[in-house]
Amino acid sequence: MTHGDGWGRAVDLDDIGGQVAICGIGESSYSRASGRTATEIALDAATRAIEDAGLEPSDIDGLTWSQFAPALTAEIFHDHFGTSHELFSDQDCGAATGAAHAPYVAARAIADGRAKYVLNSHAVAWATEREQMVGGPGESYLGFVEKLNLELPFGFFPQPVYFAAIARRHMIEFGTTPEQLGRIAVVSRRHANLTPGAVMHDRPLDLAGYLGSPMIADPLHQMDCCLISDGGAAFITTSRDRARDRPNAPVVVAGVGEGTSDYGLHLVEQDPFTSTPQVYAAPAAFEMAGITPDDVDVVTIYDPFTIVALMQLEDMGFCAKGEGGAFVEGDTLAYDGGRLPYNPHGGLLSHAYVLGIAHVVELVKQLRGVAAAQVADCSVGVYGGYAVWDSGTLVLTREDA
Amino acid sequence: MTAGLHLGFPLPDRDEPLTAPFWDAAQRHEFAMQWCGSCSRFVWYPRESCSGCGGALPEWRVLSGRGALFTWTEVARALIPEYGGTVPYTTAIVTLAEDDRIRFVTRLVARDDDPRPPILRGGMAVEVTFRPLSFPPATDAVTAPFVQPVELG
Repeated sequence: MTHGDGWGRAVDLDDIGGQVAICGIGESSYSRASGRTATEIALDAATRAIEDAGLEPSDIDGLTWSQFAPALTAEIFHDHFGTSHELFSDQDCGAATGAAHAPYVAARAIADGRAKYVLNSHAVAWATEREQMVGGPGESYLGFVEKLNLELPFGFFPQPVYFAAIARRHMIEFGTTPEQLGRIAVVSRRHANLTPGAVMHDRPLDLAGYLGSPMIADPLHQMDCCLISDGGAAFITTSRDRARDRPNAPVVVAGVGEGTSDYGLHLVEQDPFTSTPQVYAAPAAFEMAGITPDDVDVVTIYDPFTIVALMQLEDMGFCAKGEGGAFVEGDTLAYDGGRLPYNPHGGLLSHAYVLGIAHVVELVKQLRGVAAAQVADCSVGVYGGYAVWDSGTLVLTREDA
Repeated sequence: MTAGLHLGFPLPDRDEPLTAPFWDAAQRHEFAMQWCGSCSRFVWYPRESCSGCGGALPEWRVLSGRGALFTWTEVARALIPEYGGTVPYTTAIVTLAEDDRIRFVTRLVARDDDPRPPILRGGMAVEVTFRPLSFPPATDAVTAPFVQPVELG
């Protein structure tokens, strides 16, 4: 299937809708600098996911992660759990777009008998590492000669500047206001306040507090920008049949979609400037799942900056392009009665910056009915992942939906 | 901030072949980009070959330096230590009079004859102005094509 109109494309995926389910979830603690390593954090999350699924480490025969944050590789897994069995593995998963890709990879491996239980994890210790001035999200851009020599000299670096420029352009094109971006920050914080374990659990935020927060790169305030955190999470995917025998209610992988931008990391060149590859990913995922945006009960969206969430809400079809600002006004995004309950755990802005893995775990909790800020009558959940050059959409449903 | 970066970072690496012609031109107060004779168009960012026809791009041509303000941000916080002596500053993307599909990243500054902070709006006319660029307290400098509003006030 293709949805191309010139600047990107949907990735061609097999229809795996309804073949597999998530049967286990696990999380580390989420925090500011903890002094722990990403591997210690990932092992915590994996151990809890295995327990949650009622399994033993030796039952896990597939392991997926991101090559950009290899906290829990096959070697580390065996070393820690004292196992030595064959492990299917894939390094293009983990978080961001990869958190939507992971269940697809698992479904393909399960379908042809390469694995039965596939554990996907992602963990970072960027809060700890920042104190030591290593790592962090900006470095990946420094390998580009054009950025290094034609953007950095003009102060166009790193991500807060890129997304401030995009937010300003969104305001120019569509009349979006700072107060509208603030709605996203405020609802995220309210949800985090209701979620034990969220990094900003004890820190309320209202619109005045948002508008008064220090400017980073206008129009983005500090409260438009994600946290820098230590933390991680994991989830286990298996066949529908096996999932029914596990202790917790299965959460079905109903659809996956992936989109990619022809402009790669070259944000400046992308035309349209204020869109994400969700334009391609979301319709493909919804088609596989046989749903429309109106069917979605809860959404978690990769939100490194408020504007990135706003653009994805538009690009996934929850409102028309350019109408995101008006859409998020009022209580639209509230978990308790909003038209589109959004990031009920608080997201990257107020829960923890663990790059989207917790967004998927939150959806599983919502569909099990055990979330902290639980959405009522929740049977269809959608995750939107984003990594500049690509986007992924994951549709999860309750077994009885 | 990172091992392996060139001396003078975040000033440009004047020895980088792909971008040296741009910076060499700027030292002469010329605003130049690669020109593809086959496609009759400017190519930006610099490339080994034309993204349109795949041909070689030996020629750099001087542009008018006129354009329109596409977007901007005033950066208040130094997001890398090297910007610490420069904040607050305004970085901008400008579309060019010769081809409005080209987006040029630059810095936006007030006119010398009207030093008040300019009132900015999307699409406003801007023009290149050559200014010294350095990252205090470091003293190395190059001449860089910034932009300024065309109209006074």
